[in-house]
Amino acid sequence: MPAPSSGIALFGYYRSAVEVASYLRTGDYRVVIIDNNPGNLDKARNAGYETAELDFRDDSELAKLGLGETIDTIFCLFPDDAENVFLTLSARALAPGIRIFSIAHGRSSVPNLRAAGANKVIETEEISGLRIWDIITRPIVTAILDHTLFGQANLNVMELPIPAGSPFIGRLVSELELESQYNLILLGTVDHKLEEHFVYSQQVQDARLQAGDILVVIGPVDAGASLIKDLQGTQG
Amino acid sequence: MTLLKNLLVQFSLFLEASQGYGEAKDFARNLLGNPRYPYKRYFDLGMILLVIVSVALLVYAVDNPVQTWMLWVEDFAVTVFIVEYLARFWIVGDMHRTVIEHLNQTEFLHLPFKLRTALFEVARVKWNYITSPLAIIDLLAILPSYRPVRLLRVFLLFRLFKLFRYSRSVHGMAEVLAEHRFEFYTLAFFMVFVVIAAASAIFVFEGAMPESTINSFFDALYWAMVTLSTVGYGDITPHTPEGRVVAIALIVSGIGVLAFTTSIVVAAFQEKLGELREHRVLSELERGPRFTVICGFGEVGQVVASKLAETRQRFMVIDLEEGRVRLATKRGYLAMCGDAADNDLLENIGVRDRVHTLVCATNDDVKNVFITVSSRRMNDGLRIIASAGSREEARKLTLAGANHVVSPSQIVGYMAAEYIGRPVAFEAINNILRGERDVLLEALRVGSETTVCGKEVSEIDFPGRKLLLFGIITSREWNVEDVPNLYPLEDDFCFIFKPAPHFRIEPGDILIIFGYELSLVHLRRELGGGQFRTGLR
Repeated sequence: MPAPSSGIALFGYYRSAVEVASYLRTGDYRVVIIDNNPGNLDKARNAGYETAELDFRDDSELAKLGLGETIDTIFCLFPDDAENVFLTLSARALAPGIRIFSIAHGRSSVPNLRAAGANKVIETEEISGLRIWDIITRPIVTAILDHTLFGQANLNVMELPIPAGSPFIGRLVSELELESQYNLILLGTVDHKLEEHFVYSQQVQDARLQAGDILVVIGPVDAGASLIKDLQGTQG
Repeated sequence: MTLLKNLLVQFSLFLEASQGYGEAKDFARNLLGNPRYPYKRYFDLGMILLVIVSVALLVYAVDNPVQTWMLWVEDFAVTVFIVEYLARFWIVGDMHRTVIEHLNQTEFLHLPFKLRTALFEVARVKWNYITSPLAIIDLLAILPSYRPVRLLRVFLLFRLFKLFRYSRSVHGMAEVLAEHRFEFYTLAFFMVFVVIAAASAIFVFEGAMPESTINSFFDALYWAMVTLSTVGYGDITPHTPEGRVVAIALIVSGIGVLAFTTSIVVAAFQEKLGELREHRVLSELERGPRFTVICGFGEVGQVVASKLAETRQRFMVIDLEEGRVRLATKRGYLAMCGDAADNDLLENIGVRDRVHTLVCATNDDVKNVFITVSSRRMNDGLRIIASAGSREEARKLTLAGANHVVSPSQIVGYMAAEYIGRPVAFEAINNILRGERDVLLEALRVGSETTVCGKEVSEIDFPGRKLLLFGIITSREWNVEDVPNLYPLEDDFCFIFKPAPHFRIEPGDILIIFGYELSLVHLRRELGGGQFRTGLR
């Protein structure tokens, strides 16, 4: 999980960027909007964002941004896939450790963006199509997720990392008694050794918790908060 | 006369009041004339079969001994044809209603009721029917069974013409030709003129010559026609130089006539090709269950279509661009070229009653709003899912009557925030939703009289089945104080997150469960309610 103060750069203030910025605003992030179109920058400034005018084609200008130092995540949100590929490639070369999120407007661009070094590629039209399909075929599940997990109600999917020195380290997951003690459902865990590999909770018998493991739980936000507190124990 | 009048009025009123009569007539109307009526297809198929069998038997009987069973089949076919003819005659207009309407009108205007006027009106409608081409064909199709008159055998052809009634494609073809009536009339006029002129000329030149084969004016006509059509049997040939000049002129104009005919037919079909394809799409949609319409076959529409095709759901695509429609057709989807903002088109595809879901995914937000408004006006119960470019448009689409609005940029924004905030959890849920993992999230409805009914949650042993009960949707009344984790939904339904172990499951409840496909299939069978695909109600 990134530190809350991490810097995020949004390239290209178009439709998608407007939405991304407004979602990120709710979190505690430093967001910079970058564009070479003064009109777009004006709009961003009027909406109250920090902006920077630079041409992403020029590596020296990109380097000045502090990629990998003050900026650890960039979003490539240009409407033109070629521009996103170019930007991804330049940014990856400048800062190998940076996280890159890019949008794509056609299925054919996805492998290009991945090859250029994007960590996450979202194909905008496909994702909307899939969402429409969900609404058509699984209205209940979609509605429930919309009502609960994705915002509207107080239920949430949370990922809770086990901090080093937590009193729970070495204990079995079942000993946490998430359901009865915390009013939470354990959807799965991410083993710190198998990076980003999600294990469904019913898949394994039980596991001993180790520092760095991540619990993926569903439940009321306050229940999650109290578990976080307990996980941190005296350390927190 | 007054007695008759009274009797007729009484009888009309009796018919109007009779439920059975109305139902019978509706049934006959549907069966004979409503292409959307499910049983019409079987009726049409049966009639086509009957026509073919009866014609085959009649042809067979020409130079073979007639057997008794053949006569029975023929009698049966003719009986069916007669009944059909009378039924069609019956369903044209409503005599009793015409009488009653006339009575009401005259009473309202204080005029004397004249039976004659009402009956004349009825007779006019019926006469119009009798003299319509298809009705004449029907009548003539009955005639060949009258064996003593050999000429009547010609009417066998009319029995084949009857097929026009039962097959839409044949009907469409006839319609195409009928639309070019004017050209055909011109052509026919020209042909008649040429044939008569050539026949007269050759008859004048060769009719009186002893060595000529033209013995009568009919021979001359026959020769002219055979030559004009470029068939040229050669049984009659001109023998004088004058006669041959006539033949040369006739041959030249014959080529012209043939070329003209071909071009008219080709042009007519070319014009109508799109429409014929449309007919095919429409008639395919009219059969079977209700379906989804996707307006706009852009990127979004294509994803929706491919997913729907994967899960074998019925849908059709409408797009303005010829190329996209071709692409959809190439992929095997039902597709139609047209403007979805056109009310007539929406009406034709059956937005009023045949469509359950409409997806507005054109790239034009203004158009999406327009389509949403007009389809909502046509059908209150329709589920409309629209794609919007921005939040403002999303608001407008909701106002216009869309049930769900999906905005690509908003989803990107949301996913971006999730990616930053909780990448693992988000990815996990997304993969489960996409079915990219072994684990799925499903909604299962509890059927009545199944083993699960009345049991407590703890008795079902979800963990033992490797299932994770996320929650239960129910429409029962609950006290917010009694049940923790209660979240109200629309329409008096509520969602209970992580129900307590002693929670009792009742029929109609919907279980929202994470689990492996195999365990879910197993549980689904046990629940008896099946997978849940439609809305809450």
